[in-house]
Amino acid sequence: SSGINAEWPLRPGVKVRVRPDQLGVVTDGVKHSMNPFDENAVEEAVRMKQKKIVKEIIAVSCGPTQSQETIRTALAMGADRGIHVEVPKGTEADLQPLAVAKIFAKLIEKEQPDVVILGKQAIDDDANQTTQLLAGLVDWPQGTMASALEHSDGQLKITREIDGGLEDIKVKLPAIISADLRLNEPRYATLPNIMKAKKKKIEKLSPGDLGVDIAPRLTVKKVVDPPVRQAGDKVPDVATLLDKLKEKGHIKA
Amino acid sequence: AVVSTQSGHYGRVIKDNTKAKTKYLIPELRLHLIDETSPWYYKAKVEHLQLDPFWSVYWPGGQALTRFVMDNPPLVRGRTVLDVGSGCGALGIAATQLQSKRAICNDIDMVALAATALNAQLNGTVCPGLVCMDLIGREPVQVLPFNETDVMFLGDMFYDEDTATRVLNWCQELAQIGVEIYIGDPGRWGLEVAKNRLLQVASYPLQDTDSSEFTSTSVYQFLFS
Repeated sequence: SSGINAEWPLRPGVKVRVRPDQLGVVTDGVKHSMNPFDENAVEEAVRMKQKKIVKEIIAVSCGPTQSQETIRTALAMGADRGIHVEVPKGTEADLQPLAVAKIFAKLIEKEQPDVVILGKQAIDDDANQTTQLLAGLVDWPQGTMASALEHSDGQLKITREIDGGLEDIKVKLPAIISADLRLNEPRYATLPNIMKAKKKKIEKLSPGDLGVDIAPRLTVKKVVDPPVRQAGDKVPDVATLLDKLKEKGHIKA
Repeated sequence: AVVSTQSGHYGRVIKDNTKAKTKYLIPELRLHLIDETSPWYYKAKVEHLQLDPFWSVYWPGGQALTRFVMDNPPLVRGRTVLDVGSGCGALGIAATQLQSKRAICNDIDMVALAATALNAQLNGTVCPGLVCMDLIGREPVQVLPFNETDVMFLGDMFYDEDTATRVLNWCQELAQIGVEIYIGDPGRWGLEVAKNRLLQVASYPLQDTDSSEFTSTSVYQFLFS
């Protein structure tokens, strides 16, 4: 019944505008690129392959046609092949974490990976749900908000960033991990790798091919701008500052 | 004649953005290649070129073929050699050095052929013949204009299923009329398509960071069935 106040983290150069119908934000003409936490996830996968913890990296994205470019970026960073689960153009805003988790669950069945790594949240909805839902659907252990990963003997030791600080857990493989910002510094794709990536294989599937119903289960009721910040008071000196603070009851008179 | 005026035109672009380098497997040849110091290195797309500069990287399949030829000069000596998808042109240049009767570099990218001309110059070699067109799938009589291709080389051409299938079918036709065919590849997934037709004849270790996913690169002879 109450509306959803959306506070969008802004990347430099993009001014987010709420749609006139207040059901979302304007995405026309907005340049899309790989979600930053997914850059961390891909980078970590590439490092795991370099350390020979994994043999092959499959980069997966669910979305409209242009998601292929993001998969190519992952291929240029070092993923071996891609899977693009395509949804019709214009429906991508309706693609919610549960639908994505279900798609990934089917892909896990198909590809039998040992490690699944995702970005901890997408910066458009900041949901931070897909990893957890996926782990629940396939009944695998999860290590979310990972800021460090260590592998030994079919187990991963994960350092997680939580509200209280850092937490270390151990999970047995296969497991689902979500990457946090401090996990690593993602590499820039070089031109040779970008050219190489254009020749790597991307398999195309539809949610229907996987038997997944992606219809949204949540309805957005309202999207509004955050309230405008009120101007503050400027004071000439410390004495005046103290008076004002006492006046407003923030410090004892 | 057309290519030499264009190599002048592209020459500046090539020289400004690449360095004369050798690769670990082929210390004998210096080639105009990109590295971390190149203005192009961190670009997703190079502005003034129509096609991606694949010729500015010396790909592992091509390296294997050139090494194989340099270690086996009779393969090319006194014969007509065709390199399809010649890129930087190293193989054609090597064949020329090893006294092939005629060496032809074929690429769909004019800039690759311009780079080949510059690379030949860099190595003090007469420039190989340069042909700019897509030869794959063409009737043999068109491919051998030249009408007497003895041996054909294809490096790094099995990079995806569709291209691999096209190349495979074409190779089959050429092999039928007696062209000897060698394929160089580090083991990309497109090679699966041809696996019954290929006999591995050489393998070399790879050392470069360019090829971090492959540890070796091989030469295969195409078997005519």
